[in-house]
Amino acid sequence: MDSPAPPTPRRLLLRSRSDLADDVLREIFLHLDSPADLARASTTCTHFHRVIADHDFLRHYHALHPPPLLGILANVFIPAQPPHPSAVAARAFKHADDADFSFSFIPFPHRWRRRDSRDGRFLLSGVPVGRGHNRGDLVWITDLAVCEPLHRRYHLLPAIPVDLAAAVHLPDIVDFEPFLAPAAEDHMDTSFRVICLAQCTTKLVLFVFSSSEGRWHSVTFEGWSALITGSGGPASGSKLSQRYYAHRCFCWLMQGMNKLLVLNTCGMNFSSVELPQDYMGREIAIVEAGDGKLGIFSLCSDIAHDTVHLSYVILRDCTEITNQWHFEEVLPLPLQHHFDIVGVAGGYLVLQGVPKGMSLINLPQNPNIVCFSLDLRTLQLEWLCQTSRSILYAELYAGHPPALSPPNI
Amino acid sequence: MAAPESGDGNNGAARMVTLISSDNTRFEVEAAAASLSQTLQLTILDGGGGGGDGIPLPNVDSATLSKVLEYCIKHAPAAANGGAPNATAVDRAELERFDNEFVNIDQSVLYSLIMAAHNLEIEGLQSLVAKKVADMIKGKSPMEIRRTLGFPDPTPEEQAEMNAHMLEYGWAYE
Repeated sequence: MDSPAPPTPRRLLLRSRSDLADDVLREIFLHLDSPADLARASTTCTHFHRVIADHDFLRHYHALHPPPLLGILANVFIPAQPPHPSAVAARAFKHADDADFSFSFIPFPHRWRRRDSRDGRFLLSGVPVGRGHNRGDLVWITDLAVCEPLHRRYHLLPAIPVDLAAAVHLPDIVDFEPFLAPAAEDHMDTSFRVICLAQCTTKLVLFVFSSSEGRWHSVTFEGWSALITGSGGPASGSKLSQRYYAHRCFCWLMQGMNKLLVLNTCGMNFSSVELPQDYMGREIAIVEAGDGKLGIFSLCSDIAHDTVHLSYVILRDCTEITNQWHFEEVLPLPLQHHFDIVGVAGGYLVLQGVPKGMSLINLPQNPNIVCFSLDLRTLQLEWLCQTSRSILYAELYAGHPPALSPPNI
Repeated sequence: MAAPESGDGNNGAARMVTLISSDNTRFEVEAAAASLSQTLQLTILDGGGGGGDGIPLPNVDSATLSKVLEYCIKHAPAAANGGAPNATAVDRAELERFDNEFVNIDQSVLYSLIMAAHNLEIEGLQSLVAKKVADMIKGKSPMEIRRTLGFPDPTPEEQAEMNAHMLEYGWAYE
């Protein structure tokens, strides 16, 4: 192309520092899908940097581009490694001071332990000074803190008020589970919610803390008793599986009952869904399938052939009651490992593969543990990272790199 | 212009409005097409732009306006169907083909188009051209982005400021 003179309109982007030019730039940058592209655009010129570093812009960007999976937080942070697509963004955590995943910024850091993570925040529960980490402390937790390792910020939650706590009697509590929930849909800025689920012998009680209101409220689900006795389950209650999150709902497998317990965080109401089969004793993960549907992955072993595969079913329609599961896929897994499900985050299901012949509980020196990620959209299995540490009690960390993450506490 | 197939006027004849570019060229166009612009919509609803009056657009030159109107005329029928939820796959594919061709243009025209789309608040066009520019800078280094967008080399002061920021973003281009 012959270009005798530089095109004049390019100056529109540079010349005008007006709101219009900024609007144009914002619109362009919102179309950059990868954090690395956004980071490079940000260092193109001071004007671009000013527009991208703006906290309102970044929050808007985050709302459109869910945070990528960056790695696994076990005893230490294990970042995604090349050639995984997340490895570029995970490089932002290369230096020890890029983030403080040991939460040393919170007073008495040894008193706290990690309970949950979501949207770059972590929920910690604390043991009162002078007491040990024993079972009794897990029955009723009074000290909770929400922390942000990137910006080294924390927020100590007030204790659940006595009048609300009166809804449960301590001896009746079967389990007490604190976790982070997304903010209500009309508070997408820096607010968050913390939920404590008290599972009692005859009812479920939710204690919900909303950061935008700064206080707790409670919701009691009296239908629990009928739900667990309806199918002849043990009167002592039903054990709930690990918790999963999909489409603004939390889900638990009700073990031994062929049912999912579903908590919709929009109305804070419970419901149950019949499962297509008994998952008793199997490792499962509940995920977001397309079009707002729920999917269940389960790990299945074929002992005769010494192989493992993932089975995937999708809930066709949440409004139907029975026969709504659609069998989707069986995915064979690499033969050299046996597998555990680590969790679900950033659009991936993460599995850890332990070389055959080793046990996770009693690992030899420097075992070669490989983590794989399964893309929930394409069902492609990819190598995520390799580590010589066993991954027990780990959280997956999905977030944006520090320079692209405004404080959100 | 021939009677439109999907006009909203009576007797099959669509209402026309006149837009006047910064260099005083008059464009006569269906009201339905011009109404894709949020900026113009209220004026047109109020009955403006008809007859000999015309709506002056002091920020848009005739070359750019003609391109903008090409987009509006193509997209007006689908927009009239409320975003065309019942449009056929063929219709959608045709619009997509049109859009791809439409932004396959010289950069200077593209930048004029961005500013015009924002001035006139034509949502679909804003997004289309923004996506095109985003595609042009994807995978490029900061210096390549500057060259792509035709920016002059940074001044020493600007370079020093950008170097300071590079520390935070080094992970993106190692």
